Amino acid sequence: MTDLGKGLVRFFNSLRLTVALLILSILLIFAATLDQVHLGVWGVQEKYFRSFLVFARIRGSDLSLPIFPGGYLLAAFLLPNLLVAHFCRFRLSWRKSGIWLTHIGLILLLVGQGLSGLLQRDNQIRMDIGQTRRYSESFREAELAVIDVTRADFDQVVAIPVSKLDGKQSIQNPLLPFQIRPVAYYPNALLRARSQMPSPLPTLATAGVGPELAVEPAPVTYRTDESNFPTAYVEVVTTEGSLGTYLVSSMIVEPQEVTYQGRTFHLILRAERDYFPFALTLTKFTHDIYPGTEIPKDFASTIQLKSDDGRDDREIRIFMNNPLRYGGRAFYQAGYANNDRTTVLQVVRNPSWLVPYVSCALIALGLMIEFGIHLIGFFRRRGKAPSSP
Amino acid sequence: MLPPKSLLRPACLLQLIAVLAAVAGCRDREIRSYRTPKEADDVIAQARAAQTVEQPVMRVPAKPEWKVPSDWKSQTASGMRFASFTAADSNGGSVDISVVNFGGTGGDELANVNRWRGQVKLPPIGADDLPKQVETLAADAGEFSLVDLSSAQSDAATPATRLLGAWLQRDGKVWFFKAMGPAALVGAQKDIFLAFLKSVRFSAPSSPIGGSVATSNTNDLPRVTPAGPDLSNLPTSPALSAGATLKAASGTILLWHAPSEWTVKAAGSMRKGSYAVGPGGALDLSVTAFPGDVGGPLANVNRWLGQVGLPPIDEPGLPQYTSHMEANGLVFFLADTGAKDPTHEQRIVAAVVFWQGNSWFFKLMGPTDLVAKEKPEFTEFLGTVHTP
Repeated sequence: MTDLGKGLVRFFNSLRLTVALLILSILLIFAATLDQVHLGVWGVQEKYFRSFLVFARIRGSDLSLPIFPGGYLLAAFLLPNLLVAHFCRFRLSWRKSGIWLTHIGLILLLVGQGLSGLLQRDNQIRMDIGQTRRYSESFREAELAVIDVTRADFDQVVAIPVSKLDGKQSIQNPLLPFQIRPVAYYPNALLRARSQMPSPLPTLATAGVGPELAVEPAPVTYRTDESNFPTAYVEVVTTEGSLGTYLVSSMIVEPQEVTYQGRTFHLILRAERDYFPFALTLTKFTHDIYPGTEIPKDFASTIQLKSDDGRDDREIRIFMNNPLRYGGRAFYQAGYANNDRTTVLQVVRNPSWLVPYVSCALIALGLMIEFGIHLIGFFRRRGKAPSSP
Repeated sequence: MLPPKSLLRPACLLQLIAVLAAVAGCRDREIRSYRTPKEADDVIAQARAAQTVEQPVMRVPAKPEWKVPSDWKSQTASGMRFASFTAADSNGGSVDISVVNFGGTGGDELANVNRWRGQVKLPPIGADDLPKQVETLAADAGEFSLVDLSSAQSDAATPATRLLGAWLQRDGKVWFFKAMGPAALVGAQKDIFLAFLKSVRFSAPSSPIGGSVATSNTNDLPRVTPAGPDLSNLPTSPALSAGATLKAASGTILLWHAPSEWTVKAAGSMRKGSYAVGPGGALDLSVTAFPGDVGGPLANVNRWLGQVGLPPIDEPGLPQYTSHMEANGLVFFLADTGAKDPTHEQRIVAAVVFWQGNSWFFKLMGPTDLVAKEKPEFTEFLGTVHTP
């Protein structure tokens, strides 16, 4: 092994490193728990755990500096630490199989959590009785959808994540005959009618509904009961010149029309959508409460599921702790609204959802084997021990 | 040769961090493209769902039709052009005629006129000079604004250029008609161009596909309409979401029945409803909704007083102009700018109702005598406003 390899092995084999990482993890969890008051659950997850470094803003300036390792960085050290320590300290043998399985389970748990953080998408569906939905919408992420509605038989959608609107680079797509040039982006903003303002704020928009509206930037909210309204000015630029600067915002619920080369496009900033290859129709919603109280006993959605390929057309009941798992997604009953006429389903898409189950099973099996071996050894030794006088 | 051992550890760590950062970079969302089946407009669908009407609806934007003069040649419309023509003379000169439309207001009038002035090499003008430049032309499609711009002839080789431009607001869009070419040729075409403008007709705006356009003057949906409900005065252009505070938004709207003699006008971007009221449609009635209380009663009354050219009032003066009424469980705050001075030239009668986090404004504005005459009907109209 080269010096480099040996150095790495020595570094990651260190028990001191394990202790240091665990202490840092405890401090990270403690700080995140306290900061939850300001940022909410989602905010601290993003800032402390789904990050490599935790940044803090210097008071009185826009400068942010890294002050602490984030969850991903700690996991990135913990994982090789666990692997190297395991391979250096334990030899593969039947007597050590329990330890092996437990460690593999733990490693898998860490890997699974990492995969979930990277791959899991949490969306929701709001559906009134009788409504059909073919997509779920993200809680947090928004997209600028440029929809070519020219064809009579389908709509061609180009969905641009709002993060792309926060840059200077024009957005091109082979399906669009024009470029989208980001002009300004606000992660959260309120819109006001300029005609209703005593001294209207200026607007950058020249087309669509934008010239009539003023944008008031607002601080980003992390509260679970509030929404951000991402807002942007975008210019639609063709080879023949600009078609105008449009104001797009999740507060503007109707699409704005852009016509070019005989094709009609709709511009709309909306919650990021995940389309399914099937349709869900809410046929019934029931909400039972304990008699004499307002405490919910059970709420359930009866859904008609119809797949595009015609293989499935069946009725499903989704209720608390009984999700529908279909098409790589899990649909949980999450809430209700509108006098029990609207159901709210949480849709989780996580290709690695089975990993934690497998790892827990491995850990349990490993511990059982390890303790079993010890127990058998104990009984054997006890059987061999000389009887007392 | 390997670097010194003391540097190895940090170097490896940096590499590891770089790899992890690259992996994390993969989380950045990418542009996606996909096809979706045609769906009914979500907003309309939601408004309809709230009203227990289940037919899906698609809206057809109003499209113009016209009579093309016999000596004009149609060209293939490309780029931003909706239609394109040329008119040529025997000497090889030609006039280029274009029809272009934009959503919204298409920018302000001054900017449009100055853009055209730039095209014929004329200096820009200020807002004060705008009325002198713009004429109007009454036509079946509506009232066109018209400019006639000519450049000075710089030398014998390049003849002077002339531009005839006209624009018209229609269904939340502005339509631009432009004829441009050598001054003499454009001059010869001017009457033909004006006749062309007069021939412009728009198909019925926003009529639902698959259903006849009902004549009932209401934004409420009929409970039983086999042919499809009239949605002609549902918002036809981008509208603000109701409940537009920092809380979650919803798209429900108030409903009403307007008297049959009122004419439905195309609701602009901000309007939930728009009517021409009174003899010849001289009065404008608008229905708008805005988040919050929009400054409260005093701010609203002072804004309306300002709009009719009356001085603002203080809080103690407010009761003189205001009253309340209740209809269908909604409490309206009423204001009448003519309450104190019924002889003032212009008058506004307005009502505000606060519903689901929004202030809904119903405003009737016009000459004082006509407003006074229509006020009882306006009050009766308010009595029809109800929640879905």
